[in-house]
Amino acid sequence: MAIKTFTTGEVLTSADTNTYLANSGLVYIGAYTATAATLFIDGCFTSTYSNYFITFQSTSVTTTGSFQFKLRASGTANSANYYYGGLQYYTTIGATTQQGSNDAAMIFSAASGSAMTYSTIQVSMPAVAQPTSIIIDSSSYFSNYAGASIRGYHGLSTAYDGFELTMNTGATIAGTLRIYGIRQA
Amino acid sequence: MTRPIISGINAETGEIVERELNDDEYAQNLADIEASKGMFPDDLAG
Repeated sequence: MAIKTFTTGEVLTSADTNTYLANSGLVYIGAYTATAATLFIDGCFTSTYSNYFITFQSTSVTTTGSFQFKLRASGTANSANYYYGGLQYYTTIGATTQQGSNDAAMIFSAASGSAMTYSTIQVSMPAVAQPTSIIIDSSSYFSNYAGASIRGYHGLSTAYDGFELTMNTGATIAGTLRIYGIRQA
Repeated sequence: MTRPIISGINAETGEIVERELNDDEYAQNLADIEASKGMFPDDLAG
């Protein structure tokens, strides 16, 4: 529903503009750029929003492997109870399936060397003590690899306030995380 | 041997943390690496 409907000839005031800026569809929460084996943002999941949109761009990794997503509470990552399934895409054969049950993390896109990757991560209700839905879509290009679509959930009924990304090979990642809350009304 | 680095920010306070993994984090890091052996993307040949 529109915050306000303007009529012909009406003046768009600074107050109107500020209201629209404060009520965009995606509300910026924070960003972080670093080079490390673990990249995280804490204090980003709160009671203000139910659902979140995260973008992740990497510019290099030190060892070929797959990215992993984990939820964090009070500075500690949860490394169990990730259930997921999806597809890994290749330019040569189309796709293969990938799945995990009670895994230590949700594994998503692969990355190698200085090949850039881009992923979007949607997280639903992480700050509420109930299972958390997670949807990850990624593109990457190296060898015959093209990206991934992974969806699933973290099964514990725990409230989380942050998340982290690592690689399953323990590699160092150079990348940028951005997180937005999805406006609810 | 130097441990891997964990780096991040608290979106509420703006505090940036960058340090080596602590004992628990390092143990999990090693467990993740062990669990990944034989998994994707070793089959990238497609």
